[in-house]
Amino acid sequence: MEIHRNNSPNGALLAWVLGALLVVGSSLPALAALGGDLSSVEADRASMQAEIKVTQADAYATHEIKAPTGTVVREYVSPDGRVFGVAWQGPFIPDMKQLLGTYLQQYAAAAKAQKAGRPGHRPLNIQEPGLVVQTSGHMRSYSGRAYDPGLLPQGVSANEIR
Amino acid sequence: MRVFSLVVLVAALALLAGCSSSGGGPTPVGVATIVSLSPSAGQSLGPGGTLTITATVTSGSSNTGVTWSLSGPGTLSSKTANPVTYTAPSSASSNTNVVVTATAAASSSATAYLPLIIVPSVTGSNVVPLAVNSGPAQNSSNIAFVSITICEPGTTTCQTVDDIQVDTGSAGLRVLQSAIPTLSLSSLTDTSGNTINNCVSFLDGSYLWGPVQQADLRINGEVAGGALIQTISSGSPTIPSACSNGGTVLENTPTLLGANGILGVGLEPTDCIVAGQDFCDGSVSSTIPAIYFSCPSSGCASNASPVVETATNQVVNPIVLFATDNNGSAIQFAPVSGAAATATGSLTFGIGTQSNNALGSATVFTLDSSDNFETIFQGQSLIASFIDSGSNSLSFPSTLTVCPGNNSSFYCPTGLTSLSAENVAFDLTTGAFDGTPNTVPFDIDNASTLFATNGGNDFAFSTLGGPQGTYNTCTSTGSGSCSFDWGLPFFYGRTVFTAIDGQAVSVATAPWFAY
Repeated sequence: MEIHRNNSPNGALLAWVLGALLVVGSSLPALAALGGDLSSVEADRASMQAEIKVTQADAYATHEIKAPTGTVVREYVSPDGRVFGVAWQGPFIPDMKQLLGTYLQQYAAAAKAQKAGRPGHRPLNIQEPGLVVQTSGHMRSYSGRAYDPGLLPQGVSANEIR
Repeated sequence: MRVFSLVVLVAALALLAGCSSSGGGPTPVGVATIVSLSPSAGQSLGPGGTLTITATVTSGSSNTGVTWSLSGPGTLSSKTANPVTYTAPSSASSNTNVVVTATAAASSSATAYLPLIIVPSVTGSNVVPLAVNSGPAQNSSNIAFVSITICEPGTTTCQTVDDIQVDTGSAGLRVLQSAIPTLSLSSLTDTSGNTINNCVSFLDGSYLWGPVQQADLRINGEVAGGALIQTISSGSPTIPSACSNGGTVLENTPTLLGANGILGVGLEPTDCIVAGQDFCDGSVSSTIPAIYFSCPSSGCASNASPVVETATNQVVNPIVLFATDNNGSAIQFAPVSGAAATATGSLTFGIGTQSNNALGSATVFTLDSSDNFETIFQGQSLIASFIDSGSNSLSFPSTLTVCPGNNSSFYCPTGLTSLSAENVAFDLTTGAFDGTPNTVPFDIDNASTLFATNGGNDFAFSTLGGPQGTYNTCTSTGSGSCSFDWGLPFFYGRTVFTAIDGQAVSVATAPWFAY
């Protein structure tokens, strides 16, 4: 599936890179994406056994990772190489440990707290000072995004993480 | 597929049992004796009703005879004649379970069975009541419950389980192990004798875990013989991290799940198929999603990898196993005005198969390859929208005020807010959302106010809403907040039809929703 992106301010520089990409150094730290550096994007790609496509905009780069099972993950990387947001859509929920990394505990605790009051299933909407997570979908069709508002590059709207 | 499931599974389980009892030695050489029955799917009969059953025996032996046995009331015309005629008792005051079993004369380990149910009146036997109430967690919000009877396969050893949530957003029955303490169900195993476990992830990050097991399901007059279900493990089993996936809530108690189980009567025949694509049988990709895991009976390792399972080994939407009403269902609820302690409704099986389940003037919404349609709302084209009785609220991207604190998955406008959206079908011919828009007016109230009404003793809310992502971020490719989740409030005062992918149904090619 060809995916066109229209939100790049200066027209997109597109590159499909299969296999190892942008890996500096010889080892791949098992860092996860959100809050991590570029090597964590590669760790996510390897974890998902996926293809990756990079779109460079003025204020950030989008690394789009497509897993063989059809789930697409987009990781938003600031000019200083930090992942400030992730988004996903597809038939399977991506590996949240890999994607959220050091934010995982905060995510899990907030999700538990939202369910504690009223059991049942509904879209998640976590709005905390250091973490926003929003999810939706049904069996075999999921979507969502997570970002740290404090990591947004100057002039970038959170709405661009999608 | 329906024709094969019962017989194949019985044969497979018999073979596996044989393997384990012989200590894992070499498989005996020879032709297995297999018995199959026609009809193959469970049936319902009225008082005094009769049914002719034919057994077919395939084996290396020339002896193709069978011996019939009967569990439950009624009579068989003969012990050995083939075909045989079963006659139901002349009166029945309540639904009564019956099983007819054929055993090959050539091999006593080769059997096939037909589950039957005797109903006082055949009319309406495809309908079961639904209720919204406090539920086992005592603090439900918009969870629709049904009772179903779960039986050990081929027997009349059964248990009726109340408070099973009805979910059009998933496929397959999932029941808490703690809710069926009197039953002993066989787990599905692979050729090495390992247990096949099933993993379910919900949109909110919560998840279910437990073995795939075989059961006969009886829902009023409907019988799903040999259905594969998920039994949700109690306690603290080791769960592969690929399933727990960061671990928000393992819902394996009535309080955590808010129900004793989930009956997935959604758009698909199993839990790993969407729009004809099977993601678990290896046909889509060699990368297998975290749905099925093969583990020793001692338990799974935390780093266990998912395995391939073909459709006949996947947790099945029980409706497709019914004899005739197997192409979908309709959920109907009486209207609810704001908040109420309870709501009552019904689940009717089949679409256009009986006098009581005609589509009538309902509008059909065919779906894209992700089983979604489009909802147009406040200038947004939400192209990943769906109807889900398993969602507690109407969830959509808007500028409404979100509730504070841990209620941030609900909306809290200052007062009752009247809104309107349009649903648009996916056109299977043009490949676009270009159907005639269907207008749906709805109201959203302050969730905190709703939850506090009647001293907190209301559990059905027609005006409960919540955010799905962020307003105006949906793109034409479907990235961003592109879903309108028409949850249970949508069902109040409506009849909603769900037609199952791959099943024969008039009007349009399934899957589709209609209301």
